[in-house]
Amino acid sequence: MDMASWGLTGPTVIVVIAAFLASLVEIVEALTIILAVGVVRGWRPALIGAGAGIALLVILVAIFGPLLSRVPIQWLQLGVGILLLLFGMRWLRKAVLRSAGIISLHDEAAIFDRESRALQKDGRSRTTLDPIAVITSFKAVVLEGLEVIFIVIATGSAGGMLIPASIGAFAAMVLVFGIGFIVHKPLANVPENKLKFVVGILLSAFGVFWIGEGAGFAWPGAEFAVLALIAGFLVVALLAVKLAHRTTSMAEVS
Amino acid sequence: MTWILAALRELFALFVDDVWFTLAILVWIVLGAFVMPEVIADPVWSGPLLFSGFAVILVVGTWMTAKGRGR
Repeated sequence: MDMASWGLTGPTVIVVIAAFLASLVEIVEALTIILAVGVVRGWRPALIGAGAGIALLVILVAIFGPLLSRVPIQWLQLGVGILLLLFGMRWLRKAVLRSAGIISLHDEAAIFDRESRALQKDGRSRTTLDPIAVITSFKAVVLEGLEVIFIVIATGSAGGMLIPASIGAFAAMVLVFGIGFIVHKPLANVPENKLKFVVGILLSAFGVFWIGEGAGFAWPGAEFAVLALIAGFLVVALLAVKLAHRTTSMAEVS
Repeated sequence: MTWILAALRELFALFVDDVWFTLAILVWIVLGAFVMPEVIADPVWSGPLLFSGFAVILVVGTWMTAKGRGR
């Protein structure tokens, strides 16, 4: 049995990878906060807050998810393409600037320390529920979770690939929470900038593709044009890193 | 209410970091996806042209930020 008979065409695999990697970054950020809450204020409020956050996200998906099928496909492609491109290019721009040493790298260990200090400063509640801890954990899950939902919708909805995108995001959640549960430490070793670089390229490529589809373009190679767009964005992003790096180096010398 | 505003702010920040960079992308979407295909003769170039515009925006946008920080 070949890959295509399993529905594993090139674009489907890329959707799974894009949703997995993009969700991985967001879930690592949520985990850092949940761990800080758990370590400083206790695991009960951390898990109650996280559970309530997940419940709210499930309700939001159940309410707004079915509305997507009512949007005409060309409008959906265009809308999703524009959002994907804005999201992807924003990540790619930041990843380029970080790779060139112009802005500092995202540091999960520093965020964990900062959150822990803030939680220690707020006096521990005498009630068993500890509202500050619950709300902190809840907010982290809802805010980062909204980003994961957007990523799944954006990568999967326009091409009828919501299930592969959901599988990618779910796999990222299982992996990150699994490791977090075992090590009880923020995942500081995740190469977040490299991930954002790759995800920025993937999302930007999908964004351009869907904008073209929504505008009625006839892409050369049909859906496989996505692969050419990925290669194109990779070359351009590497060029941008070199140029930005050289610009700052020259400014330092002069 | 505060955290709903925080969520909305977070959602906005998902797409907009540098306002000029975002505006350039939006302008090129309008030009590249809707105006250019009406002008160019061969529709096969519409896709590559659309991509080229975003490539230029990425390179120029990051270069200008680098130039600004290097001063």
